[in-house]
Amino acid sequence: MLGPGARSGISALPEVAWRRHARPQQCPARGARAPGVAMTSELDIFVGNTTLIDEDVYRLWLDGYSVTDAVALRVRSGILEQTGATAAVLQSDTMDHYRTFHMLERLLHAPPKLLHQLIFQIPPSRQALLIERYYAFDEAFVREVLGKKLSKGTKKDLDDISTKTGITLKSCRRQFDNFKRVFKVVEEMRGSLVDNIQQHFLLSDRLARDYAAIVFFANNRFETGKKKLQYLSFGDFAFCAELMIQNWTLGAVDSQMDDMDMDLDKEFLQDLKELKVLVADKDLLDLHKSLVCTALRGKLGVFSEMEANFKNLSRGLVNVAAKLTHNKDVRDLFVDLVEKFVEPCRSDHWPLSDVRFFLNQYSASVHSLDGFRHQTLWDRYMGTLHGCLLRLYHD
Amino acid sequence: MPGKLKVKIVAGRHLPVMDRASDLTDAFVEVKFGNTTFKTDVYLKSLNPQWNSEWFKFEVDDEDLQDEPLQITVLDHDTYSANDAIGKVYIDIDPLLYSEAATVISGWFPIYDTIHGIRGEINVVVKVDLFNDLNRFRQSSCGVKFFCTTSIPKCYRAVIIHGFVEELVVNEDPEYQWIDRIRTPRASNEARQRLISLMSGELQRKIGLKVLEMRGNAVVGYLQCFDLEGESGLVVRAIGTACTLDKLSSPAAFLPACNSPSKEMKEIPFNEDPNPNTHSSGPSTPLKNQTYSFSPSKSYSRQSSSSDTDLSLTPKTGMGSGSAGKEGGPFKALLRQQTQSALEQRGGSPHRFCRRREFPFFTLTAFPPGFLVHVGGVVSARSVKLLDRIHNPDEPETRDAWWAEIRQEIKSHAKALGCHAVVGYSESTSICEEVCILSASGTAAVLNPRFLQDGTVEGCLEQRLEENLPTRCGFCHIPYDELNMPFPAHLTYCYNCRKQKVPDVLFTTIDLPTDATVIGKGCLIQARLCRLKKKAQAEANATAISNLLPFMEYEVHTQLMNKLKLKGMNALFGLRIQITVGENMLMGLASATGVYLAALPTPGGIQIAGKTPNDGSYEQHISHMQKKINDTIAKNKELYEISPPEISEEIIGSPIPEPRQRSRLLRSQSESSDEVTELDLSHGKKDAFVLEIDDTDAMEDVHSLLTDVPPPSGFYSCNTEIMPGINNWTSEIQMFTSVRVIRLSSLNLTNQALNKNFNDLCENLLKSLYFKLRSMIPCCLCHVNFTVSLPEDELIQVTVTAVAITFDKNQALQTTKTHVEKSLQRASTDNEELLQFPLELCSDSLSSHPLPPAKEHLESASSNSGIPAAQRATSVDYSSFADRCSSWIELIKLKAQTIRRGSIKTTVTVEKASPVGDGNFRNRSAPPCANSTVGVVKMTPLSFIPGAKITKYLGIINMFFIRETTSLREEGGVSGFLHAFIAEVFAMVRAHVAALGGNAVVSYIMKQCVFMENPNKNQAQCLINVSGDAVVFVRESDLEVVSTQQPTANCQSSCTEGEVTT
Repeated sequence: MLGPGARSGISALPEVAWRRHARPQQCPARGARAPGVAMTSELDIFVGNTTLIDEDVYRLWLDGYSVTDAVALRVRSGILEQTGATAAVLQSDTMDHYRTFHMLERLLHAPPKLLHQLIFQIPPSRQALLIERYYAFDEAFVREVLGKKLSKGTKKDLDDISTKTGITLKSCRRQFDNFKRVFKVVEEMRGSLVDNIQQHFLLSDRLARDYAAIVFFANNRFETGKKKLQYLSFGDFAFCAELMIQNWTLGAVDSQMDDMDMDLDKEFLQDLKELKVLVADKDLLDLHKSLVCTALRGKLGVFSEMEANFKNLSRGLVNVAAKLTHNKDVRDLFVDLVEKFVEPCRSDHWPLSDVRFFLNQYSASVHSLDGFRHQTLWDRYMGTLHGCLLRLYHD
Repeated sequence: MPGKLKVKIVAGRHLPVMDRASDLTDAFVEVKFGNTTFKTDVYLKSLNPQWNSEWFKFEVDDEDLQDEPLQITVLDHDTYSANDAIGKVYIDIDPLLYSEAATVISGWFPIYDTIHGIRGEINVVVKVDLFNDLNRFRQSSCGVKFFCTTSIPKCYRAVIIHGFVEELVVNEDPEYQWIDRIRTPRASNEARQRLISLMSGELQRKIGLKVLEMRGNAVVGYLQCFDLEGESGLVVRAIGTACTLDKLSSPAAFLPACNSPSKEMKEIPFNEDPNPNTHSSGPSTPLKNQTYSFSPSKSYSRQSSSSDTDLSLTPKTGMGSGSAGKEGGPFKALLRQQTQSALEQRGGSPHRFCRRREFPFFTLTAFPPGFLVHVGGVVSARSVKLLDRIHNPDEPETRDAWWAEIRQEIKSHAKALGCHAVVGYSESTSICEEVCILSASGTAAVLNPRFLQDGTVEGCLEQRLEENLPTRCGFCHIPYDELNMPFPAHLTYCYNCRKQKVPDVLFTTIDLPTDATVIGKGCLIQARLCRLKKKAQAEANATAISNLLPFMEYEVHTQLMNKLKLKGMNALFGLRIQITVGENMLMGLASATGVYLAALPTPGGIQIAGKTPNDGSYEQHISHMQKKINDTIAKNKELYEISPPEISEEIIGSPIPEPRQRSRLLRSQSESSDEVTELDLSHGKKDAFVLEIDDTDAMEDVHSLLTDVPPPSGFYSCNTEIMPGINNWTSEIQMFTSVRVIRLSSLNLTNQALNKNFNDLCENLLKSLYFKLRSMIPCCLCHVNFTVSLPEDELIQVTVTAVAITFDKNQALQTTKTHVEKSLQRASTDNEELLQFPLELCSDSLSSHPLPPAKEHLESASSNSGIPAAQRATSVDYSSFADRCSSWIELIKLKAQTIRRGSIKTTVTVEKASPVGDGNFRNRSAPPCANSTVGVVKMTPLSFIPGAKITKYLGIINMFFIRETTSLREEGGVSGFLHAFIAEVFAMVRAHVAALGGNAVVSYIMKQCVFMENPNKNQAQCLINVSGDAVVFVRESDLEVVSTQQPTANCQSSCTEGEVTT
């Protein structure tokens, strides 16, 4: 009767003794208890049949705060006073949520998995919220990496970006990895870019279009970081990206190509050289100018400036088109647009409405140029540029 | 050859990558039942294999059908080495064996591995063809239904409630020392899972056989437990209540069909044994008598309990005052005889199961109306045993004998209380090394014989029953004889009917009867206690424990009584006292739901008496404490809305307690006891409770009384099925499990420090729960079930499972208000009253949305004070998306079907369509779960689902899982490991229910959660056993809405599709 029990009791002892010493190092975060109470929390979990998601804690987690920081921020939010809870309760609650999010993160990397998995019972509205917030990104961050190659090298720069933007490194990593993940999944895929993103990541329409822009920029490596371009927001670029995807990519003419929405239509870019005649042919340029000036006389506040600058502006716009055959120049598209068009107009204090009048007339009057044969090409080019320039024209 | 089991393996999904080279898996499936195994083809290079196998057919005995689980193993094919197991699925096919339950099991089951957890899912279809078996001597009990629910299941009618069934089976534990065996991963744990699955099947079959012998067709309140006795083996035991149930076609009354006059009216003694004390192997011990002399006050009076050991060195103790007593009145005697005969008769036939009739026990906690006649009080018995190896698993006599003894004792306690039956009966064990405490408890009661046996109740008795038992207060009336009470108690005339006597306090283990009149709301009351003990071996250890037990019981009881008084309440329901044994301490945790029963007298306050009345400052201190206590009582009365009607003395007529007369509650340690007061005590006519502060210990106790914080406003909690005083539940429920382990760091702990730690642990846990569930306010935590275990020397583990249910506060106010008005018979519906309600409504609507302001706070804090402005990055905020997000997934799904690749227009039109679509979706957002790919399965420890109707019971869910890890740190430490495991267990339960065609588990219980860790080796292991009833429920609102909403929903979805495709 005595034998077996005694043996197992002894065998357990050394383990216990060892652990007694090891313990303090293993849970250093647990010192927040009231002094004098001789206990430490070893394990503390809460599992609901329906997974509890606290939106505020989720945001803190996404923002990359550590548990300690998150608890401190929550304390500062006044939640303790509202609920009468203690700091220990908040700590335990935050830990629970962080654990849950950590477990969910694997699923969030492939959102359809979140819908089909059985482990966490989450109402669809909450699933959508989890996904949407996980893939949401910070304006400041996206401006830093927009148009950059989503590679290891850029990842190393994340440290700098974090310091510069004040976004935690963890959050930067998440956002960067999201961009990269979406890029990897949708590249070389047929069909509409936005639809593909939406299908594979279950994002809202708006967020999916933002991601399409990010992917498009990353693929074409448009330069967005130059000082000149700093005044532009992500929204400005995303707007341009959407127009370009719609009109300048392979998908715009042929719907059955891989990468159709990501790569610009090479043939189209080659053809753009033909537009050069608009500025190279002096007669054509003069005719174009007179058409525009006739139409706009009296309607434009900055008419004289326009008249004086017409040739420069037109040359700028047409040369941008003609240069797009070279990858390097494609990358500099936005720099060129700002340099050649936005800045000159801005220095003459064109109001936006005048820019609109001008661009309308500038595009339209080309149709009246009898010697010019590339009307369709011009429309495809100028239609998009027209939209982009208006968007880019602000302070 | 009475059964054919057919299994089809359809497909797998989300399988893990087993071949690193290709990042794919070559999976196949082994299907095993009994000794027969089938295999599917290997589906090469896929993580989502489509096997679509033929039907694998197993021709088996129905005995095997009941015992064996269906084992499905998913493996990765490997040409050169042994095939790797991906994981397993065990399917209990028992639900397919009843005619009314599930007909097919079909669905996605998580593939489970003891090391890796869930690894993908497998789609399986299982069917059973049963042939009729005419063999009378069969060993199977197919067709007997099992319910965990401890009341008559909702869509059934009880024809007869036969009574207690129990059984246990024992076996060697394949892994009794996990630390030694953990080096052989999986193998031993899988063997253990398989064995326990097999043992539960066998146990259920054996219980079923007993039910068939009793001519029943179902077991209600089925409770199956495992005792992991370590080296001495594995015991699986179960108790339940055998019934004959009829499926209800319409919600008809519960009355049995016929009541023919009984033929026999002879008096059959309740117990074959005329004197229950002769069961004791020795004379009544001084220990026992001591206990009673320590507690001559009321504190002990509602609970008859005993503790004993089976060791020869400590004589067994029994209930000291177990005399049968004269019957109080002719009616009562008649009633009792009647019921006794009803209970005994059916056991009359001389076959081997007649022994079972000895125990008129019922595991039910809620009863058909009229079933419960009187309630005596809680009866409990504990026994300390030394475990030794079970030599012959086929003859588990020792364990049987142990339990038989305990039950015998319970029965004699019940008899001493003048009761012939025990309801709300349960059994439990606590094991530490080779010492085991067996506990049993229940509520002594007098039952209405009508339900126990149909057709034997004499007509006139029936009549008398009807007229003599006012349903609302009858159960409170004492069943024992007033003149010869088994314990000193203070009786008054019932405050409701004023005809019968009632005790001043009532403790029970059952749920509050539905027809009982309660004033105000109830609340969770817990008594918590720790006692250090010296480490010892074997017999010495058992002796030490059994010496401590009576003191613990006494103190737990005292605490309960004090806390009950402090709440201003007079009855406890659902009382569950758990005593846990550890290496160097004993823990006691009692949980119950306190209520104010209108039939019982108003409880007196608590008075504090100092020991040295001469000291002025001391006196001042005492009076300060007294004031605090009085304030707390007053506050609690307000909080729980306890405002009993004032009844003048003349109406009651009989012994009205004199307010100033005092009783003295003597602490067990206090040596001083005034002879005169004690004499006075035995008459028990006082209303105030005196706490004598004679030492610092007592001071601590009083302090600890006052430290229990009430739940934050908007929260209520109880451990019964429903909260007394709340009846307007809304449909939102959240079942959860929370586990905490604390390490006591100090080596030389005192009892006091230990008590404080334990108290803090429980209080903090509750506080955490309230905080976590704050978004559900107003809500009630129901069926709060605390389990304490002491896994190691200095570790205390507390596991809580409960369900939070929301309720409509406005309605609650209204009903309570009208209730109060009615009970106070205040006809004053003047302007003041009319104004008050709308005002309260306003404040409610404000307070019921505590989150939005909180969020704003957080945001503003983080943008202003929280984070330096420079650090704060403007995020791309999708402001209105909270409204829209529910629709997106639906939208995407629609699009997925109708997607047109590569058209520029698609994007444009979607843009145009989306605002319109939004509007549509918002309208449709009422049933948001409808489109979810994974069906929602609700889980609840209650027997019902608020706002819904259970239409079908699909069978019992009884699952056992072991999870182990050798990379504890990598999995997020102990918390990460256990969090993931419990989530997986929930997932597997839900998957099984869904596969049975159900959408909820009711009466869910986590019976065991044994967690062991060894951070030194980076290892941990956990074992979980859960059970419940799989059901199909229909929302009451859906019943009406579905028909009207169907066409519009269709129209909307087609509209949206149209927009997207253009």
